[in-house]
Amino acid sequence: MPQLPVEPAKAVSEILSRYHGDPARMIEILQDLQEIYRYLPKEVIEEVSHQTEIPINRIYHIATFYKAFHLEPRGETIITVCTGTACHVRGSFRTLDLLSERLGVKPNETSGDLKYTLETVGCVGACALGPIVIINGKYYGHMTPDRMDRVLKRMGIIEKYS
Amino acid sequence: MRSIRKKEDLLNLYENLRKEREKQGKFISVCVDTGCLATGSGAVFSALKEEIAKAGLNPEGEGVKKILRGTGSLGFDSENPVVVIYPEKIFYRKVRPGDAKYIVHKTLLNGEIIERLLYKDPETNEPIPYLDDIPFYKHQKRLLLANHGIIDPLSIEEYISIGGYQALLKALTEMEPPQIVEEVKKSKLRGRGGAGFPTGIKWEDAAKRDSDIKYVICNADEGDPGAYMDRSLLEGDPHSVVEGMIIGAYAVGASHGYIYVRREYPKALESATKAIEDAREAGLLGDNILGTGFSFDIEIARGGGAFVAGESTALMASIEGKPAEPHTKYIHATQAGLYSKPTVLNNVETWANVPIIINKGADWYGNIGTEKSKGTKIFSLVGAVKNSGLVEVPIGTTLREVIFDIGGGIASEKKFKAVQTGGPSGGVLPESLLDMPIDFDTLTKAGSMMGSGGMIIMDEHTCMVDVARYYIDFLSKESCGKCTPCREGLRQMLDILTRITQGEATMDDLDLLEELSYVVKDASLCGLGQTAPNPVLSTLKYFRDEYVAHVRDKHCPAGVCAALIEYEIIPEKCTGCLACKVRCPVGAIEGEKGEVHKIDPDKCIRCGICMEVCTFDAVRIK
Amino acid sequence: MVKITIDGKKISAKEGETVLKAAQRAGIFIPTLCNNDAVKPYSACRMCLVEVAKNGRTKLVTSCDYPVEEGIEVNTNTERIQRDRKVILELLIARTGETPELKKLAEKVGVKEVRFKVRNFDDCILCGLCVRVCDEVVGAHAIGFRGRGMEREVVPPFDVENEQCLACGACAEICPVNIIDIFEHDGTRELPKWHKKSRLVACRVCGKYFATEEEIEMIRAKTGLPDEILYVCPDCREHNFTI
Ligand SMILES: Cc1cc2nc3c(=O)[nH]c(=O)nc-3n(C[C@H](O)[C@H](O)[C@H](O)COP(=O)(O)O)c2cc1C
Ligand code: SF4
Ligand code: SF4
Ligand code: FES
Repeated sequence: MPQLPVEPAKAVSEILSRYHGDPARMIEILQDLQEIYRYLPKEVIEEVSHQTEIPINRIYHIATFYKAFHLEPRGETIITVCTGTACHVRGSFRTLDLLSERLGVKPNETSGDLKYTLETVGCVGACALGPIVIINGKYYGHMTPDRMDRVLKRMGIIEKYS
Repeated sequence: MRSIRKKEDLLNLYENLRKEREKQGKFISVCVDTGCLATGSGAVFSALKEEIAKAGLNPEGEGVKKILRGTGSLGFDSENPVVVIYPEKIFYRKVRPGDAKYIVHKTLLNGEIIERLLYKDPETNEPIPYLDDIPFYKHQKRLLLANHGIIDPLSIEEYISIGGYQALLKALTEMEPPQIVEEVKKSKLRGRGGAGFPTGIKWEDAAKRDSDIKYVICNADEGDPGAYMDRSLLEGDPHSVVEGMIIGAYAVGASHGYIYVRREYPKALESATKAIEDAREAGLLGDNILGTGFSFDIEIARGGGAFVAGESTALMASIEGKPAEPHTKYIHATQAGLYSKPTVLNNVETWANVPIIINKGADWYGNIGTEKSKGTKIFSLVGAVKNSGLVEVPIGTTLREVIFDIGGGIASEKKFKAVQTGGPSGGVLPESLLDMPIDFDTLTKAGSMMGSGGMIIMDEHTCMVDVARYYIDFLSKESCGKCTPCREGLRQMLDILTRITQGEATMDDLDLLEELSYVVKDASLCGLGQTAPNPVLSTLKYFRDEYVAHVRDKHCPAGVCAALIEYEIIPEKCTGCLACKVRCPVGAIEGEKGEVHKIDPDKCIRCGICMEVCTFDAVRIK
Repeated sequence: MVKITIDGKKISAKEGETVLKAAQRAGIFIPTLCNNDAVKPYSACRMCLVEVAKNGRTKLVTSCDYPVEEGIEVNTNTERIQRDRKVILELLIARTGETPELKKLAEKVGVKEVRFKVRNFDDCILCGLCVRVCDEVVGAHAIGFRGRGMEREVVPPFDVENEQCLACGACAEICPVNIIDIFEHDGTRELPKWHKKSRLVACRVCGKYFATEEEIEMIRAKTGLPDEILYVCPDCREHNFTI
């Protein structure tokens, strides 16, 4: 287990004070903690339970229920494919399949070397630009497998096409 | 900004700001909402700012006397980034940062129109200089979106300068709470979040409850994967929502409000937060609003990413810091909702209608719409349509008008096939129903739903079985998993649909799928499960042939279902240029340079890159 | 008293009670899976659906949490309900395989065959009774749900053994399909489903194992009772045997 960058007890008490320790803000509390660690390590969830006195079974349920939360470390590069309806009918699934093939990871999984996370999102609300792919926060519109492959090559994610 | 303590403060402020604003009649608007920014409007904004400064003017302007405004979306998203020059409303499309110089010098300073940036009539190819003459806008009625383009949404002064918070003033100082409820009832406003419940009746029920504390909530979870009007409203005109909520709170006697915002919408979150802070600082939220003794405040609740969290009981559970699991509603939220207190939950767009109704009156409002559904509705017109974006039309407008008059029809030479409304809870409607007026009841009767207003246009290259499978796949993952019919029923529906798209289903499976659909609708706990089968039932109803083709002939007529299609190279057209061969990610294409290429169907992963890159149209789907 | 009709039979129900309760007292059978008097209603399994007619309108509701109202007419066995129930049971059996408990119920409601192809991937029907009894009655909060939608399951947090679990066995007791095993051997109690192993405590009088260490500690924390009482089994205590 790698060392956590911030001591969970400290991080948790800091975030909790932001919300005056109000456990009704659990979703936000966990989101803020995740921003620090990029995922929710077990120790952090245990610490939240300890400090809020909310039973851990409930926090664990929340952390596994909402899509915002990740209980495993994520990749350095996060590639998000919008699979909203507008993107889907314009063929975003083909781009997703291609990415899966290229990165060797299934949708919503992270590569073993923690380099890439391939994830899907319901809709980012920019349907007119679809299909949309977001790479580390940057939006790419009108994506097709061909254009995606070119982006991957440009970014050095693949060396050659075939 | 100084605090508004009483009626006169707001009236004076409005007077001053209005005059101030009028001093600068000519100004440039650039849409800077999420959708526009993704097309590079941010850079256009910066470039314009620089050019205006270079011309010796102050781009920021003073207060509301602005020359350049970053505004909410103008809706015509397929033409983004869009720049509009007021007061004439000269409409420039697909603007690049390099155009800024010309826009400032020619149009802003010299009133010259730059033809190459104009929208062209698709039929006559004639340029159309003014926004109001463009078919996309001409056929709309923009009430809720009226402020998009003319105000900077992050400034409360801008909102006040065009008459913002006047409805609140009227409500709080000239009307009693029951009168407001009566007005909203009379307006026949129906909830825009999907189910179309009459808003006034909901308010009336909450108003009559006796309770130490009551809540109002704005539902900005917008989970429909193909709709973004709520995002756009919150980003482009957040104060109209806040104003609506304060009026609603006053009408029902609530002291506390929440806006529940979907986490995928960081900009909407930001603008809603800013609007609340500014309104509080101005004295329009907090204690003793406008000196009337009425106190009310709003908090933001951030969602965690779950479609089901948009369901009313789940949303309230989520605000309480629990998993978004619905429970039965035999006791209404207006009696016992959030923290078991009387609660009014309305959608973003519903709240935004309230100031309009109070300002103009229920009678005026009643002139728009149909007998039973009044007002306008915003739709997100997306998919295979030529003009895509947000459109606002009176309820009762026909599908054809929206899709063809405003949307310009299908983007390619392909034919229109179907329109999906209501998102995952809705259905798919065929061409024969295009003349149907859009309202809550007609859509439901046709097997679809109004939903939140997603409208996805599909052409011949969309497979209806694949669409049904798409929605069920989405819903099976988004279901909370609490109740059996939804969780297990969707799992089995997905299995059957998947087998159909793979050519492995039987005709009996079709019957089972239909029966199961009815049970899931009947027996599920919440609206998610109760409407989940709609995409399946509507496609079965209107496009049964397509299901049969998959099952019986193992054929996908639209050429979409990967297991049933094969890419092939037409020997007569292939020049052996190697273009596809070098690009195939799995090396499935054989053939030397100058020789006809061939695709190995066993290696092929059906990505279609070969078809995309072939310049000789030599690749086709068998 | 509230007057209602169930399947044509006139019944006086108690104010505030559920339709299910009223039916049970009148000897009318309504199948249930996720309901148990020990915990709050959950309306998740949907087996207990009934039709309720009120002011000329009929709706489908779960009887386990629908409160009786004056004058309502309840039907527990219409064709629509029979169809829904059968399909729900088929769905559950497809999920878990034909356990004895589900088989019995299936016979009772008339399921002839299970028509679904995806089969037997979990033995739990996700009624949530174990979770609720552990939360609401035992107060240990040792197990809970994980995930949502089709992925939902019941596990102890992180699916590892935890300290909160008392190994009391209340979950096993309440599980309607009997899938939570408990083993006792050599002074330990084991609940493999929750990865829980616990040491048993022997009665200081009779020497019989009667509770887990965690249970004793929980009682100590709650009541502050001294060892002389804590370590005596209920049987011996009843007979006033002391150490
Ligand atoms: C699964 C599900 C998702 C929903 N999502 C939303 C949503 O994202 N936004 C919304 O306003 N209403 C949503 N609703 C409807 C709400 O439950 C509720 O009816 C609505 O917010 C009430 O406001 P209105 O009367 O103004 O429409 C959803 C309902 C269901 C069943
Ligand atoms: S219908 Fe679906 S989403 Fe609604 S409670 Fe049941 S499982 Fe959850
Ligand atoms: S283990 Fe038993 S009691 Fe617990 S949820 Fe599953 S079926 Fe219900
Ligand atoms: S017993 Fe009522 S839903 Fe399970």
